[in-house]
Amino acid sequence: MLKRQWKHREIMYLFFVLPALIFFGVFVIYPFIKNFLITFYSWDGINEMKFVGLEQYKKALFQSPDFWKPIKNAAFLALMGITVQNGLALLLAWIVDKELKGARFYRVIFFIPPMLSFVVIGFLWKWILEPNQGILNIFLKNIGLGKWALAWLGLRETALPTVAMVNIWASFGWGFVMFLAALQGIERDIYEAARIDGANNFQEFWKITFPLLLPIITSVSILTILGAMQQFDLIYVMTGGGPAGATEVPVNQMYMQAFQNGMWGYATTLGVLLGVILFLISIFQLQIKKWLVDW
Amino acid sequence: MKRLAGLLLFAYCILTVTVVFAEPIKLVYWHYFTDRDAVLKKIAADFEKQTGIQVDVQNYGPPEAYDRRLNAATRGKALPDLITITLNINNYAAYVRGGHFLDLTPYMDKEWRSSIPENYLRGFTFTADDLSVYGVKKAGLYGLPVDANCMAIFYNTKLWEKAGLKGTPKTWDEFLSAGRKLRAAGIDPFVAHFYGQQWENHTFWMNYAFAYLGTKGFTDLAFGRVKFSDPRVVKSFKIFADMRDAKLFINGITGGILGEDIFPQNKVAMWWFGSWEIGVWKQTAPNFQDFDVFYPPKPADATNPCLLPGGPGAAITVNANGKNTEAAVKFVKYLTSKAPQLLYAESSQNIPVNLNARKEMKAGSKLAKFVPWMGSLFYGQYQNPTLWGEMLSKINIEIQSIIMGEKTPEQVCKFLDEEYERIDIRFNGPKEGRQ
Repeated sequence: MLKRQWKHREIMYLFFVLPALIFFGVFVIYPFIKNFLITFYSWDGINEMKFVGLEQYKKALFQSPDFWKPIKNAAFLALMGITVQNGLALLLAWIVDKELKGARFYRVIFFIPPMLSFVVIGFLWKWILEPNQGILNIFLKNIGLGKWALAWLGLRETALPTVAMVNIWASFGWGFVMFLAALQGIERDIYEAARIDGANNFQEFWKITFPLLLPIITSVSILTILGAMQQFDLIYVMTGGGPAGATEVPVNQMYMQAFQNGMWGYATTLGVLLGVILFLISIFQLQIKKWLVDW
Repeated sequence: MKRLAGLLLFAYCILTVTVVFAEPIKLVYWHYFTDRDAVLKKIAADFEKQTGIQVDVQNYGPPEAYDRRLNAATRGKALPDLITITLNINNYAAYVRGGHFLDLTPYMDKEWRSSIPENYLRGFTFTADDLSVYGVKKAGLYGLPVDANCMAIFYNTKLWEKAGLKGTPKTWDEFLSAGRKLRAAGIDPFVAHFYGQQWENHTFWMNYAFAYLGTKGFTDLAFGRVKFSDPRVVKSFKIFADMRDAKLFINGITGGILGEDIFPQNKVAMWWFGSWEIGVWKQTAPNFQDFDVFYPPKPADATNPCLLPGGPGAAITVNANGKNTEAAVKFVKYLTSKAPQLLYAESSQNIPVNLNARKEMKAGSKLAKFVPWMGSLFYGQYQNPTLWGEMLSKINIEIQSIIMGEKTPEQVCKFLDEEYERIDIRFNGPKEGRQ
């Protein structure tokens, strides 16, 4: 009797989750599988698809710079994100957590850039960095550093680092908020005990704060890498992938292949390959997190 | 008799009910021109007054978003009756292949046909020769332009005067010399959107590629029958090195400097852009009048005319699977006729596509200056294979390499030959195995 009642309940539960399951299946699982299948076809986005097997994977991985060059650029953005962006976010969160005067004000200020869209940020910085009338170069010239007044987005050497700096400016607020929340979750008693034992600020940070923050550092790092590797709007607005392809990133390349060259199958292949790379990076980072926590 | 009267009365009632309660024909017209939305709605209202056919004009700009919408609507079989397209029909081969656009050939009477430049019609036609190139099943005319444009070099008359320049350059050397004079006077000489994947990169080059190769030579280049390392092609890329060496380019030109921002602010003397900008300034900088235009001068050793980019701007096509194709064609005919074209040109400051309307444009206006050059466009004068789109992406990047001094024109051409080979094999298979 009880068993029958339980079975009945199970069916009822299934009915409760069914709408969500259907929604998830139709809008997530099906497009995911369909997307993967398209990579085996040459497709102009409108007409019938032509089966080409692994041809597009071969082209992307071994025959053309369309994939690896943008991946290299995106990897640079990710590297800058993990080191400079997250380092800055952690440092600022740590300072604000020290009950600094006006901490609330800084909390708001640091969180303003992430509230803006990348398109707005792109135009704003493009205006600031304009080589002839931009306020950065005018400022540099006025303080006697005219030699440093470069065409920041127009030179191969400076374009990608400049975009990376703007990306950092636009994104560090997310890490800041997450680090601050984690810092505030650490029991103050631990610090008091450490102080009684004679620990200085650096030791407190290195022996208490950092180990306790490791899980959140890993999560923020994964999000930073995912965000940087999928950057598009900022590059599209600021450089369009130039000069001479110096700032091309994977999503930018996909957009061009799909919408400019009408090669939807190939663009989808680039997307799947990027997805695989991001998946592997995330697995690797989670393994590192596990290893660090065990250690 | 009674029966006949009853029958007539019944027929009258049926007819009245049909006329009174029949749904009026309503067409839906998609476009992406924010600046032209009002005038298109006005033309649609005039059309409705004359014909009783309603046209619901819907703006889905900007163009990038519109393209995505069009693509999605096609796949979802939800295209409107009237669809805005651009440039030429080659870009829409996939839509024609799928039977989505109506062949307008049977509807074009002699008078209508003669009111639109022949090469424009050619640009929207798939001929029997094109069928195998584009994979289209049926030859025909699959769209019609509604306005026209032409690119040229805009120059700032105030800055020109300030540098002591008189008249406009007629030769390539005069052009470079004017640039040097401007630079010496502390004025940035030249800006263009030579960054990213902007089409201004390759269209400026194409002027000179046509000047060195002619239209047949250019078609041969596009189909791989002429190599990029051909000395004439190398020379066409050398113009960028000449301009760089003469210090014509504004500092940071490859970094996304927008001409529309700085040219009307008198911060650069020349800007390579299109006639439609006059209409844009009407809205964004209505007081800016210190400008004029000149035809790009060609180098002395180029034996053919320098041809300009331009031709039809916005165009319209009819949904082949729509419910009211006849009414939709009627609207296209009305839109491209003289009176609506003059209204459209006056309001949007775009060159009318209708030749009779062009004759009635105000003489001496800046827009009218472009009209004589409309016969020197490379539009519709050459053919290109499907792989050409990808080649143009490569060309855009290589032009920037020359401007930045990273590569010589010879190195660029050698690289483009290698790329052509690679792309050709991908599109058409190994050469040795081809028929």
